[in-house]
Amino acid sequence: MYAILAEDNSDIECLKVLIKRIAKDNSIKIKGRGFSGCAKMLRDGWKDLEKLQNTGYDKFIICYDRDKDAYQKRYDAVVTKIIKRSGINKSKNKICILIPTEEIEAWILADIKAVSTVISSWKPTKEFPNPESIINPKEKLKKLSETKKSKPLYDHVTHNQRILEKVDLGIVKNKCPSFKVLADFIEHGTPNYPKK
Amino acid sequence: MLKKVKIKNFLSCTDVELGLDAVTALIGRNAAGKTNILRVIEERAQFAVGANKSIAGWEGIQGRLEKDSSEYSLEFSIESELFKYEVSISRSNKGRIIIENLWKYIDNNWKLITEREGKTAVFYHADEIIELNISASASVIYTLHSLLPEEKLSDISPVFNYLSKVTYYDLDNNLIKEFSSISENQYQQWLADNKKIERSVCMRLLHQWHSNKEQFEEIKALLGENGLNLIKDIVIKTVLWGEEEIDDNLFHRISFTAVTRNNILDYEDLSFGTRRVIAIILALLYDNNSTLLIEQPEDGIHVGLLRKVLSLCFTYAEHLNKQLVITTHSAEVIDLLEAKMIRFVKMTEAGTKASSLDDKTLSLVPRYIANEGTLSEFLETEDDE
Repeated sequence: MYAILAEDNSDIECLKVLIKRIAKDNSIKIKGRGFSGCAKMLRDGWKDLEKLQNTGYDKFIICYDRDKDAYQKRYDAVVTKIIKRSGINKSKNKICILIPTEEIEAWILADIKAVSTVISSWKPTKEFPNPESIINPKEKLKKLSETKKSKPLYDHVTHNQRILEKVDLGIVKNKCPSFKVLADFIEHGTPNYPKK
Repeated sequence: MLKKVKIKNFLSCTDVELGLDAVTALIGRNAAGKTNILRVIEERAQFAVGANKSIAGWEGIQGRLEKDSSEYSLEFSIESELFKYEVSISRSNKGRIIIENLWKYIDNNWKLITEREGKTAVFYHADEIIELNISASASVIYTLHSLLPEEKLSDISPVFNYLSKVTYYDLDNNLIKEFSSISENQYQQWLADNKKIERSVCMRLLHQWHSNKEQFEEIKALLGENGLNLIKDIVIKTVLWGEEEIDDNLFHRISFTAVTRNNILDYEDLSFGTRRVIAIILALLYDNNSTLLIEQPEDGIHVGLLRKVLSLCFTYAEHLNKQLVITTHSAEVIDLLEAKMIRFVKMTEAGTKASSLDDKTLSLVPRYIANEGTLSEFLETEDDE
């Protein structure tokens, strides 16, 4: 059983979709806890982690967008403020600290033609070979939608989940190292905490 | 876009001064005067363009002036130009005296476009000064817009058009009886009565289906499985009752297909929250408005859906260049906003007061949100009595 902690509920919805797709199993039990922002997740997330462990979950994904920060700083913040505070049993549980570069929206840019399956009037022509190098992928998607005069307009909270149901996972995995961390965790059970 | 509002002695707003942004949220306890602020803004804007033309219309929804004088000022931008509309109403034993001015900001100065005192108005256009007598029950903007030829309305027309589109939404629409089966006669009557165009959900959907199929499909997409996942389909069918194809016999049937279980529903069968979401989407996409004054968009909407609905609102409002001024009690709504968008509304002994976070406090917010908690939590200590 998987449990996810993330900055907000829209991230939870997206990760649930991706976990089920990677595992090729729609019946997987997944519980998510979205917070109203990263500060609240870092402040209160340890309580939910503790509770989830005590209710039988044994595979945990803690998602903290990298934004423009250093990867290691984000990673260490999750370790210190959430994992260690929760007292979670590292040997009995598997933990993935997921730090999308810069945001989950980079994974959509990786296979941008998937947007057409949700917003049929939006037919992107440009591809992104290195989506994790885009400074603000959410804003990029929004601008592309406006430029292409898509109807309806793209909105990340409303549309991301549906688009991620359709992206080619192989393409995203090849282009996005931060997504590969999640894929490896689901496919092979490879945690990235604690580091070996 | 409304930039600044000043209200003196209308309803509980004895002395309210309020700066506004593209998105502004009024927060505060019940009975603080948030609704009063929105209603005064809309009513004064609508009166300026001819709604409720009457002597009592000057005094607005409260019916009569409770103090000897009332004033209001609406400062707004239209594209890159800045205007200010000021009215003061004073009452004495000699009667009511109305002073009304419209200003435009030119070369770092406010320049009068028109001024009015009592029944006399002066209009300044290029090098021309036009004096006219004006009805006591009408605003000068409305009068000039009605009387002057097009070539003299270069400033008045944009002001008239902007103010006429300042619209208040309580979203519950309790006063509107909705029909999922609409006769052609009813529909034509509704079309003829322009004031109703913004208010009936079913009529607006029907009109959109007739006149703008692309936008109708866009709204369906937003509500549908790839959007908010509320309504799978909206189907409108025209049915002939009787042998002759005349308006009396034509009926338009509007039905909604639920996402779960594919039930076919009338509008009245939809949940309270679903009806509110449809009303919000129509207000943004269908209605011809400039500034939307929306009461408590969170009512009846689950937290998870609320975030999607509001995110869509902000996306579309920015794209369509529409201003949003909302009232809210919801921490979830506040957490979607920036601190500079928040205005505190409080009821004091001197009436309703409005304020925003000062620069020093605003500077503390980013660090708090990055390290400590949410905006709503930060504001809890600011919103004390």
